[in-house]
Amino acid sequence: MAQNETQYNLRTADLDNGIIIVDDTLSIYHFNKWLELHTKIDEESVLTKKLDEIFPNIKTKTLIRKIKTALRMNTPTFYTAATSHYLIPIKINQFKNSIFEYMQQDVSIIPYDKEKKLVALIIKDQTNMASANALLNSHIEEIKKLNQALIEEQKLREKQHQQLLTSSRSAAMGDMISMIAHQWRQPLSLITTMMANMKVKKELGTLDDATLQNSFKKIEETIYYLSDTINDFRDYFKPIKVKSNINLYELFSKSIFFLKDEMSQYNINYKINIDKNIEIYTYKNELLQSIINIIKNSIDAFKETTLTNKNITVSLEQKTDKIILFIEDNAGGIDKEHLEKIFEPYFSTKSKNGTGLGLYICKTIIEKHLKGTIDIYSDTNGTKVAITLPTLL
Amino acid sequence: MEENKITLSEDEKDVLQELMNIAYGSATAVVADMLDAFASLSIPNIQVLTMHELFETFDKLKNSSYFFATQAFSGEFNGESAFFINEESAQNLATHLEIESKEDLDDAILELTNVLTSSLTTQLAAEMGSEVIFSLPSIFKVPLQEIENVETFQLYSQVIVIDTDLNFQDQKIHGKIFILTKDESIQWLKTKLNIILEQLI
Amino acid sequence: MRKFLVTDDSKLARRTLIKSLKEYILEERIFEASNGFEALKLTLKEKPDVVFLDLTMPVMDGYEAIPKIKNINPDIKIVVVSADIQEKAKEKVYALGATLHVQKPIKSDKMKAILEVI
Ligand SMILES: Nc1ncnc2c1ncn2[C@@H]1O[C@H](COP(=O)(O)OP(=O)(O)OP(=O)(O)O)[C@@H](O)[C@H]1O
Ligand SMILES: [Mg+2]
Ligand SMILES: [Mg+2]
Repeated sequence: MAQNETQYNLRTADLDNGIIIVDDTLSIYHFNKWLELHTKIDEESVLTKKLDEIFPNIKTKTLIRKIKTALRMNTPTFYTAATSHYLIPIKINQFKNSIFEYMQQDVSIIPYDKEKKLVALIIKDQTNMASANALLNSHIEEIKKLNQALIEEQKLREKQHQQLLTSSRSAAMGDMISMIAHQWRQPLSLITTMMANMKVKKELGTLDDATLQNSFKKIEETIYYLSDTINDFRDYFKPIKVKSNINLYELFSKSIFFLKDEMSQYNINYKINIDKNIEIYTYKNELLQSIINIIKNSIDAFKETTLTNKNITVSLEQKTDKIILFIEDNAGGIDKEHLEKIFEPYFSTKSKNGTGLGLYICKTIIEKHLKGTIDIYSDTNGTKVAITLPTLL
Repeated sequence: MEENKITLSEDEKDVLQELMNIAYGSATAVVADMLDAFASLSIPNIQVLTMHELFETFDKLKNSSYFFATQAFSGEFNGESAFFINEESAQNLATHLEIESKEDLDDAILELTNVLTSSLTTQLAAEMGSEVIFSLPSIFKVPLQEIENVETFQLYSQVIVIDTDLNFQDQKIHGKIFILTKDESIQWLKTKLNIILEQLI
Repeated sequence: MRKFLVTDDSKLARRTLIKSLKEYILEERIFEASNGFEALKLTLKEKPDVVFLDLTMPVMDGYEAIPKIKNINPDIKIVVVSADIQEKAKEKVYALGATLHVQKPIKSDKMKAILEVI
């Protein structure tokens, strides 16, 4: 396509436009009649010379950048009269009513020969158009001034924010360690017991190979389990990024945008009863991930119902230094015998699609990393999840 | 016009989004090369909007934007692209490219628009077995308070808007690009998207 | 026989990838996740050996997911499948622990090459 168009342009445009063929170092390969006439320079005398030597006003860096881009993408790039005015200086002969001294030019840079890195520069006279544009441009100055003030303000805010961040980078290591210690107590005592057993047997001379092998195997397994629990319970959900101010209304409206399609697909009404300007300071990603898991559970639950009036409602209660978020659905609730298991890892009633890790991870994130709590209430009507979070983590 | 509003199904949206994502990936690589900087990619957002809704979207951007450039493209897949960049980003771009004059800065922004538009639309069209042509000179700069008067915008009734952010974090350069396509182009696009979908089943 | 997890927010991208993966791997050894978070859950549950991972995804993107997946299983192979072909993007994912970075989309012959490398 680009090729055909190029050929077409080159043939028909020859008399109305200037055409220069150059490579990506600006060496001239062709300089057409139109240009000879307007610049009073012969093609002979410029061939193999550099374009920016002949016309020193040309901005070499910019032009080369454009040429390389055109070649790389195999599509045209441009200079427009509106901003660059002209590439090749050509004095205007007309003496009256022109605001320009030089011909205003639109320049297209069209890939010509990819192998040899050649482009055609097509130059069009746009002096009349440019006069009109010049008037338009004057508007932009005003806006620039207005915006400057805004930007200063924004910069200041950013700086303050940065200061806040650096002063609050404390990891929740202590909690993690105590959690691991709790998980390890049992397996550790198992290892100790087995070692003690072996010691006794050795002293009594009753330690045979089979027992030894067996004990080693058990110990090995337990050690694997230990390292698994470190992994399972610690690292993957540890926040990587820093905390920030989060607008809760926006979190529930914008940030969950991709759940909205699914909700409308199942005709679920999604209501947000949260004041538009409530903010808390916490880990955004982690909070978002938890909320999405909870809302997804509600959506999943609706998929099992034949209800016509499906609602998911989120609301908020403000306390002195914390907030409580409620996420509520009317999807029929959770069976009594399941309710006590829902936070256990791998517990799921969804045969093939559920990992059963959703709520377990939510609880881990909310309690360990966001320093909050999560509670779930359920009856035959529906489920209500309450998340309590500190306003300033 | 409102009554036969065209909609995109979930699957159609998904395909378009993914194709756009791939096209944008290569477009960004070119821009990143050009600027010698690293851009973080975001998920393209796809919507069918009426012109009224589109102007509302633009209007929100206006508050923080200084520059607005558009470029038309034609072919079976045709329409217009619009690029927003705010004052601060524009200044940062200038610093980054060691640009001194306002003219050169304007030019660099137009070039960005051009690179993004042409590589995005060319690739998107190519994925659907078609080609696009750029009419010249089709890039121009519009003062913000006159966006609604842009002549070509009057031609649209509803548009598929594909918007995505150009985001150079280290250099603090952020822009937003919209690819707008109208009526018969939307229909054409839908047909092509469905062909792609069928091939996967 | 290895297990594979395919992670992408786009259904098209997952379908395309799985279509080519199925030419070499049994379907029941292939799992699907729609973002980094789901991938993490499935990595814990299904213990895959290879994870195909997109970078731009909602909830948890690829950059966040790589180290977290690696944490679960340091030997896991992570193949980043992305439209982002900037050199810096590649460097970044390799630094985070990815095994391979390949450009989208993945059709059959590219898949063959990937499976040979990892
Ligand atoms: N809103 C709800 N309504 C009804 N049941 C629910 C609701 N939320 C959770 N459950 C029950 O709790 C179980 C555990 O939920 P959890 O999110 O931990 O795992 P999952 O949703 O089954 O799987 P996954 O984590 O992969 O999404 C679910 O299988 C479901 O039975
Ligand atoms: Mg769940
Ligand atoms: Mg993606």
